[in-house]
Formats: sequence, structure tokens, C-alpha cells
Amino acid sequence: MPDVTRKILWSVLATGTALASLSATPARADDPAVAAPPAAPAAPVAESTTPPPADLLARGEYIATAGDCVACHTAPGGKPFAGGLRITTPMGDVVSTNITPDPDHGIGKYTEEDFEKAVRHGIRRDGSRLYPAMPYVSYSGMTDDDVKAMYAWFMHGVKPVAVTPPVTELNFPANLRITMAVWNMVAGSVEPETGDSATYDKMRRGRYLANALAHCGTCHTPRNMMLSEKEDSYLAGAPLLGWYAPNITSSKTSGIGNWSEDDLVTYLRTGHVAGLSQAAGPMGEAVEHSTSRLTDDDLHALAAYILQVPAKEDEAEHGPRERFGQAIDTPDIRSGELTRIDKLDEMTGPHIYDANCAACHGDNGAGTSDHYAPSLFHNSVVGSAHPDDLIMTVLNGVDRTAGGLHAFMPGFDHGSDVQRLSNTEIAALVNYVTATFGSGDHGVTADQVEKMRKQLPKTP
Amino acid sequence: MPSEQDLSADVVIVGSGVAGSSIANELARAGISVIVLEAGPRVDRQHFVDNFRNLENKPSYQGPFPCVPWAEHPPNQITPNKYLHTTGPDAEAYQQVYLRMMGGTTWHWAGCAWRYLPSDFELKTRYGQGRDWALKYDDLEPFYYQAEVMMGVCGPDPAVEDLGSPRRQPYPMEALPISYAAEQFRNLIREKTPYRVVHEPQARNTRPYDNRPTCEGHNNCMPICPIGAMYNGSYSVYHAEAAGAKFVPNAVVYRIERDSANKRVTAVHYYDPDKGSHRVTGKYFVIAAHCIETAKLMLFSADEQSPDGIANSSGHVGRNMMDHTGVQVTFISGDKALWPGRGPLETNVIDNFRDGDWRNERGAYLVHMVDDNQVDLATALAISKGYVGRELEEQIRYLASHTVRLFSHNEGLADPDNRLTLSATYKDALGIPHPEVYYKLPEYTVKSCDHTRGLFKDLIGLMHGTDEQWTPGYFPQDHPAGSTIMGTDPKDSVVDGFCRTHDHENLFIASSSVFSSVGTGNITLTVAALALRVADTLKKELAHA
Repeated sequence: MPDVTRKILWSVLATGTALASLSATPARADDPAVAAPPAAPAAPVAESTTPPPADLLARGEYIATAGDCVACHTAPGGKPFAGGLRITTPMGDVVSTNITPDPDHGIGKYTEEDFEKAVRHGIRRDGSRLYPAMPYVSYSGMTDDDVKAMYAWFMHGVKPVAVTPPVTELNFPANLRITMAVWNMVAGSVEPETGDSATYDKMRRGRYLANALAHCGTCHTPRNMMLSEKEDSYLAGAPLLGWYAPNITSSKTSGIGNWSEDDLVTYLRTGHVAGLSQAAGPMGEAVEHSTSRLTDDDLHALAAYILQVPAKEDEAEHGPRERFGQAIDTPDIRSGELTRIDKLDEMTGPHIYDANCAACHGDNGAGTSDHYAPSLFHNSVVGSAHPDDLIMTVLNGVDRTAGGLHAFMPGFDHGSDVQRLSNTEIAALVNYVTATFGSGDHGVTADQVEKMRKQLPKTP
Repeated sequence: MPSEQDLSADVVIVGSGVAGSSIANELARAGISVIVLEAGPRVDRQHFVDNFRNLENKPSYQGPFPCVPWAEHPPNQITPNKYLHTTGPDAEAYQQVYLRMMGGTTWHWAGCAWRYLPSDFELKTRYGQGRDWALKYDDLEPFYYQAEVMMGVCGPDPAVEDLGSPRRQPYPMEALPISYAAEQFRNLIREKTPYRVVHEPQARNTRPYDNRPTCEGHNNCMPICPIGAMYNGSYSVYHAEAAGAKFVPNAVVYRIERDSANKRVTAVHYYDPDKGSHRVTGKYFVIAAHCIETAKLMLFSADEQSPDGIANSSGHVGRNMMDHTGVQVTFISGDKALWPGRGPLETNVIDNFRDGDWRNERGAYLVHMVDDNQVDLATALAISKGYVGRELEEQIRYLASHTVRLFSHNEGLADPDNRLTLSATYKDALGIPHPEVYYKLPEYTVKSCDHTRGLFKDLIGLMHGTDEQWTPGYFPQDHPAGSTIMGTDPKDSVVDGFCRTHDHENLFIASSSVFSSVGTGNITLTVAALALRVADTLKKELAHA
């Protein structure tokens, strides 16, 4: 990249933080392009007198599912694809748009060409640029046929919803959509795949699913200074809205090199593999809305492709994160003393665990026999050298429906009805849990917990 | 401590249990300003779970909740009691327990969420006994459903098990799975008796609900659900606070001030733990302080204008104390093992005696097959039989798996002589008298209990039971009701059908204290439904104000 471009980019992105947060969070963020303003010039309205054939619609729906559009374009409790999901960033709230076929509130006036430009190039119908929260760089790899199918489905298979979500209002400079044009100069895009994606061989299909549709790298690949995914660190792990999208390269110590293809398929289908890991947060949503709905063949293709991604080591990880710990006999902490009901002193790690976690995860950390409550040892979230996901799980809980099971753990943040834990208590608890069942005490502090607490989604 | 000017709201509520907190939540969500005064402190679950684990006597409901001196509650169910002083021929049968703290007594209930039967509201009309309510089942039906949604109640499909209280909507959640012990009990009743066992509706999650987890069957709903799968009032406190309601803990209301005409309440006064006094003004006032504490407060607030206590022109404040005073037996089944103690405590009941023509002479009842862990009882029994060593272990295993515990809720009846008064002898740290209750079990209830004993004896015979242990006398159920009774006539009742006091137009009572009859089902859902109806009334009146 010419130096001059770099300078221009940095001068526009004066603070840097805006895009850093935006681009680091696209799995939960969105396309902030609002519906075309009323003053927009009249354009040919996408209309079709005969509905597209059923197989085209079915394919479009499947592609949209694999691309997980619904995750960002649906507000909590809202109608599918009607937008309104609000993501807080240091530069303001990004609000996802209505992509139902409503002509005034959604994308009903988009032609197939308009749609293609938005999905693959990040340019909306009125010509302005989308924020890269929308993973159009990934989607640029989609085949023409799949874009066409997806367009057909959005126009004919999705119910129009006449609601316009609030407008995204970012602070300078991220509020200047021209910034995005500059960003696109450096981030670029990939060449679309060609041919019929349904007929690809297993590995090509897996790569297509992973990159052009499921956009795994958007979260799991760290970003460079230009906020683009680092090509040499593909899927090597990156922070994400307080969570940590872990290293899922084939490294046996830092990645998922010890997982079998069946393990990974089970994980993507159900969000949980006993003795390995479970999905919560953004990955829980990705499993719920997207990967749990893919065909077995596609899951195997995706898993096979992911499992051959070149190993990238993480110096922080000293051993396979899913292999730490064992069932333990905890020391008896009973004092026989009762405290008065108004004594709400902060508790120590073992007592917090005993009073809040042991009922489900067991005194010995083994979880329930049916694995509904997972074991805490042999658990990659607990064993990871990055305690972020454990902290976020304690704060946020787990709420994931996949594979016919609604997995649920209450959160323990300030909005919890079950128990509200302080920053100091969560730090003590997490340090106790990782020291007892994982890879050691990582010295989590109350300040760290407070920072992560601020990342929690706001109550609508 | 908040300054005086902050202590004013559209609606001032005394008590933060299921009644007070759910009213606060409804009103706050409608944009109405609310202050809730709670005598006890703020509390949280983890400290109770910690206390429970440190507790020697695990089944002690009050055990994990050592009270604060400015808001005492009964330490246990033992007579004589250090707080609730009961007298009369059946003093021990009225030894109720309850909790004074944020969220109220539902911290340690079993989650049984019965609707009353339509007949329960018309006992006098239909059976010539007791009193009618000043409302009908149909008046309460929408609020029953609202309460079920608020609390998260699971229950059976009426097409499969009709519990006798007509429903417009299905239960918010599917009924609990039937435990192994309950299955054995159901089979026995189905095969060998003309009776039936039905699902008990439960304010307990059978799926993730309201950001709380599914019940895992820890079997200690009383004294504390360790995971929050069971409803308690603290959730409504949190929801109300999120909606803008203001809760003041450690605020012991001791006086209800009225205008010069004695028609409207103008303020309530409370003590903080140091006995500093504070005045809280409002447009409407709701006393939602539990049956016993509500009557106590109204009597203690007596002054020159109302020498017999507030809202007490009828003289019925503190009278008509009722409960589901029942019968309890445990025995060892001679049939195959039941393995009780898996799942929630109370989930299956015989409901054949909840209603019938015989209610013109004896009270109704329902029978709980209690599904609690019986290792304590089995161990005591095995030791008393002289077993030692390996045989002792085997006996404990055998007895714990074969123990059956049955108890009943028998219908009380409003009798003005069963009366709560202020203790002349005992006072708390703030100088407020302890409550005292005279109790003589009504003949109507005695007959009901006799009938229950007969049924229990039959069941023991059918199960080839041995080692019967009957709880001596009668068994208090902690379902006190009636102390500010509802009625149409201001001369013999305290509140009208909307729970508004006859004497003071802006004073409402939300508590089981308004019940005119006590039926057989656990009282909490009806308390919640009445409270939500009070909230509905207040919303309408404040909208017109």
C-alpha cells in the first residue's frame, strides 16, 4: 500500500478507536445503512409478477442462513430482518437496518444489482458506503448465483415489516461515510467464487462456507493496523466486544488441533461438545441462527476446512486449553456459622463458587451427568489463557437454543434476578475457577471485570 | 437517609413481598411514581445458600434467615415462640413462619401456585358456611393469569387434568415431569382408590423463563432455591426498580396518618433501625405487609381518631385468623421403594376433597405427597431401632427409599374469636409490640382433619405401611389469612371487593389478610392476583385524577 494512502486513512480515522471497535465487532454489528431517504431519486422498483421458483427461494434462504444475516438484522424480540439491533461503540450506537422487502422501510426498492452492490461491495442504493460492520468484504466472495438466490428470497420469502429502526449516529470521523470509501481502498475485496457453489467438492465447499458465507474470520482473525484481517494470522483468535473469539487454527496447543471433524460438527450443530467446549455470546448466536441449521454435508465440509487451517501458535497458551483440570475434592468450607440476613459482605472465591455455581456445575466441577451443565475441567473456556470468555459468561450467562436443546445459564451482572455479583466477586470467582479447573490463576482484576461489564448488550 | 422532600409518591406501598413488589412493578411501568417501604433489609441469594449449607437443621424454613432486630420474624415454628406468641386451645397449630426482608416470604415457599375454585369465593351462598368474598372467581380470572405469567407458573393441560378453576389461557409453562416417587404414588392411587393425583401448579421453571434457569430438582425449595428456578418476590422488586419504583429497605412503618375527617390517609411514618422517624406522603397507600404484620400495623397505628386501629370501624381488624391447619403423617411403605427426594418438594396432590356437597358440614382439604429427601428421618428411625455398623447403613438406605410423607391443607373458617392482638408483654428493639394470636381450630376444620386422618389410615394400609409417625395435634401451614377480611358490609368487614378499606378511600390492602375464606390451595397466587387487581384499580383512578 502506498504510504500516501496510509496517511490519508489515518488522518481521516483520527481517533482510530471508532473503526477499531466497529471492525472488530462485525459479527454482532451490522449494516448501518438506513433505508433510502424519501428524497432519493426514484429508481426502478424490483418487481416480479411471477414468484421465483421454490428451489431458488429455498437456496436463497439457506445462503442467508449460512451468512447469518438475521443475527445482526434483528432486534431482541423484534421481527426477523427488521433491523434495530443496537451495538454500543465508543463512537456511538450502530443500529442495524430493516432488510425486509418493505418498499419504504426496508429494501423493497432494491433491484438485484442494488442488492449485489450492498452485499458484495458495501455500497447502498443511494450510493453511500456501508460501515464495515457489515461483512461485505467476506460476502464479496459469494457466487453470482448465490447472490441472485438470496435476493429472490429476501424479496419473496421474507415478510415485509413497516418499521424503520433508529438511525445510526456515530461521532466524527466515523460518521463520515466517505471514511469507508478510503477504508475500502485498503481493505479491498476478494474475487467472487465462480460456478455452482452447490457442486463444489468438500474442501472447496468448506472454504466457501467459512469465508464467503459464515465469515468466520470476521471474528476469529486478528486485525492489522489498517483494521483488515491479518492474512498470516487467519483464525488465530481475536477480542470481540468483551469476548474472545479463540484461536481455531489447527494448532494442538493454541487452537483446536485436537478436535475431530465429528467434534467440530457436533459443536456447530449443538453449540456443545462434552469435554471440549460450548458456545455462548456471539458464537452461541452464530450456532443458534446459522450453523445449527446447516446440512450435515455442509457442516462436515466446513469442519474439514477449518481443521486444516495452518496452525498459528499463541504464546499465552501453554497447553491444549480443553485438557486442563480434573474433578477435585474441594476442601470443606463449612463453618457452621450463620450470618444475619443484612450481612452482604463480599465473599471469597471458594464461597462464591459454592453458593452460585456448585448447584449446577458440582462441588467437584464435573457438571451434570447429562452435560446440560458442562464440566468446568476439560473445558476450553475455563482452560484458555484468555479468561475473557469465562468472565463474559459469568456476567452474561448462556442462552442458546440449538440441536433441540435450550441451554441456559443465568448471568450474574447488575441486571440479574438470580444473583448480582460485584466486580471484585467476579474477579475472585474467575480466578478461583481457572486456578482450580483450568490453566491457572490469570490475575483477573475488578477493573477488568468492570470494563467487560460495560460491553454487555444494553437492555432494550 | 433520604431527605423529607424525596419521600413522597403517587402510591406508597408498605411491604416488598410478592404483593407489594408486583403492584410497584405494574404502577412504575405505567409511569406512576411509587415508594415501597420494607421493614427488613436488602438481601441476596448467595448468602442464603451459604447459610443453608452451614445449617445443621436443613429442613428448617426459617433457619438460613436470621432476622434483624428492627424487623423480627419468627425464628422457628416452636411454641412458645420468641416472636409470634400464640395462645388458646390450638396455639401450636397457629405457629406460622414468614420472612421480613426484601422480596418477602416467597424466598422460602415451595412454589405451589393454585388458583382458588369458583366455589371457594361463595362458601356461604353454596354451603351455608363461613363467608362469601365480595368478588367472584370470574372477577379474578384475568389477574390469576397475569400473576401466572409474572411468576412463571407451570401446570397441566386442562384437557388432561382439569384442576377445577376455569382457564382462558393455558399455563405459561408445561407441567413438571413426574418424579419416580410421584409416579409410584399415582399408580397406587389410580389402581387401588377411587381418587386421583394431579399435578400441582408450580411457580417454577420447566424451561428457561424470564432470564432464570430450569428447575434442576435440588429438593430444597424450602428453605432456598439455589439457582433461582422458582419465583420469589425479589424478581418483582428488581423489575419494579428497573421501571423506576423506589424501594426503601429497613423502613419499619409504625403509624398511618389520616386527614382531619379520618377519610383519607395522608402519610405513613416509619422508623429507621436507629429509630429515626420519617414521614412519607402520597395519594394512595397500599398495605402489603403479610397477614400478620398488616393487622399488627393497623392495630398499632391506633390514635385518638381511631382508638381501635386504622380501618377498624367494624372491629374486625386482627380477627378471623385462618390457615390451612392440617394433618401430617410419615410412614414406611411395605411396597417397593419410592426414592423420594428427587425434584421439587411438592408437586403432586390428591384433589378429590377440594370441593363437594359435604362442605356444608366439614371443610375441604387437599393432600400433598411430599417429595422430600427422607435421610434425616430414616437415620433417626434406624438408630432408634438399635441398628449399628453395616446394618445401620442398609437400614438408612431402605428406610429413606421407602418413607412416605403425606400432609393436608384443611380449610379454615372465618371465626372472629380467632384473633390477633398486640402483645402486652413482648416488644421489639423499636418498642413495637410482638403479635399475639389466639387460635381455636373451628369445628368445621376439626371435622375435615378427622376425615383426612381416615384417608391417611386407608392409604397407609394400602401401602402396607409401618412405623407411622403422626405430627401431634395439628400441622400449621404458614398460610395465614383473614386478619383484614373482605366483605360487602362495612359493619363486619374491613375491605371491599377491590381490597379498598371501607373506612379510608385511598387505603388498600394487598395480602391474604383480605381473604374471606381460605379454600385449600396455597394462598400466594391468589395474593398476587388480588395485588395485580389493586394495581389495575390504582392505574385507572390515577389516570382520572
